[in-house]
Amino acid sequence: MDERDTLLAEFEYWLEREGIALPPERRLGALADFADVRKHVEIVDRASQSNPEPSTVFVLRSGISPS
Amino acid sequence: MTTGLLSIAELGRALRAGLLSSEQVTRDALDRIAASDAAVHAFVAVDDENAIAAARAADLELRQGHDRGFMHGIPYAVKDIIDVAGLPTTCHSKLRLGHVAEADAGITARFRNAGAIMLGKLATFEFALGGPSFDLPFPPTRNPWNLEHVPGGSSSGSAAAVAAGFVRTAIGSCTAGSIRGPAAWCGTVGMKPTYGRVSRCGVFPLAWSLDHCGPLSRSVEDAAMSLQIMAGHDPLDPSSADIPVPDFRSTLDHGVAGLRLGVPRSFFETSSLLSSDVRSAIEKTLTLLRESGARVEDIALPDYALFHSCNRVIMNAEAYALHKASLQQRWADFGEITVRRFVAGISITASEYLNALRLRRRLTDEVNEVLARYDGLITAVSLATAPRFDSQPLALAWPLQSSPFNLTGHPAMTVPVGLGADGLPLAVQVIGRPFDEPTVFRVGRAIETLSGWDRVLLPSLPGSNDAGEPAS
Repeated sequence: MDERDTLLAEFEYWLEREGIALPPERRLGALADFADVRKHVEIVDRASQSNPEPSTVFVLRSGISPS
Repeated sequence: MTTGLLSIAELGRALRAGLLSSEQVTRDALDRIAASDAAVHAFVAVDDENAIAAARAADLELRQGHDRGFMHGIPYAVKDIIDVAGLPTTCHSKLRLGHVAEADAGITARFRNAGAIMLGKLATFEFALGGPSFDLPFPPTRNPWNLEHVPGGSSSGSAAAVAAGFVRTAIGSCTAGSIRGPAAWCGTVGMKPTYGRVSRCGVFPLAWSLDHCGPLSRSVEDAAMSLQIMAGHDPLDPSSADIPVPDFRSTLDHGVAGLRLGVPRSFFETSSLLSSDVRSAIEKTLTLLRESGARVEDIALPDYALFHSCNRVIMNAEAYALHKASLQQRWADFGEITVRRFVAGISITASEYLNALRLRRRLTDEVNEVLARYDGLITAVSLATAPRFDSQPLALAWPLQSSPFNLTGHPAMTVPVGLGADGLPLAVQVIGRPFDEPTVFRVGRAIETLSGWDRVLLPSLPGSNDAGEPAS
């Protein structure tokens, strides 16, 4: 399988897994956008660090005054 | 009096001096829309009856001495992902035809309380992402400077309505540049304020942690006045910042002498997409700022690609999550481009999304470290002028550089600076510290004046003259 076929197979796996019944003729058109996002994921992953820094994902910034 | 060329402040003075009435100003705006919007397609719905009624009510209140402030009696318009009570919020989608908003969005409630006159709902990309496209319920907006060119998006109708002279100000939204991009290509000011500055209650989301709402306006002053109405804590929006709202015009005319401005040249200078016109416009702007007393220095930021890719991963993950059920049940009712853009996020895993959030924090901190030493940044917003409809690449590959500051949440504003050799607008981008919109407006005003853009007339449109009035 060439790279495009591999990508299409991956895309079709996700469509089936997520229950989105996009017909074959629409899948090819969507493949470029799918590939584009995977490219961006790779760029982010390469820049990611695995050091166990404190959470930056959830932050509680203010308290609540009792009524 | 040619009302289409008057600023919000000038209109307000004319109303209070009795030289104009809100009804006259509103009818003039509606006449301009009727004369030329068939070519531009900025509006998807014009609410002329209610607009006239509101204008008459505004005139009565002003005569009775009940003055609601500077927007009282002034027309504006709203991107059609934002609720206006009693009107459809279609999001430019077949899936939302017939949906009628039960209540105003937080923003539109503020404009209503300020006595502003809502003229209608403005075209957008489908759900603020799928466009420009010809398979949607309404046609795509065209660029008033050249109707064969795109206006940008997704606040395409907002930018075009202002650029065409239909309104002085319009409300848009921005997730990766949907205010600043069309503002740049249509020659309007486009302000994306700090994340949390403006309520998103009643605004159909695209990506919860990236969405911002802000004004697209004819001038920097118009934008500052519009943001003054829009800004403020909304307890119904969990991300709304509970901090005081400053007077955005407090330093508007202070000039740039003594300000330190950084230029992240690596963002744009080596891009193959950078046109000679945009390069010249940026350099000329920097020179004008230096000559006006600003210290303008090159600064280093992480690669633009990191900011952009981080924004895309977060945006696509959140947008897919939002629309997943609709894609499962009604994919055929979306436009073709919309489906492609939403399903693109289908494979982003939790760990990939979390990596993006953690990178986001580090990139935001790096920008903040620079802004601890500089009052603002100047950079490109678009690397080239607006492309043609018949030659456009995928919109997500357009030559725009607006996504970094959606990611970091800093206030960022497009300021038009001139016209390129092709007659299409050129612009720069001003970025400020979190919640320091006054300095962004201050720098923007200086650029607007120094560049001479504040003296540029409206583009010629079918059915109108150079003052934007219906051709007699």
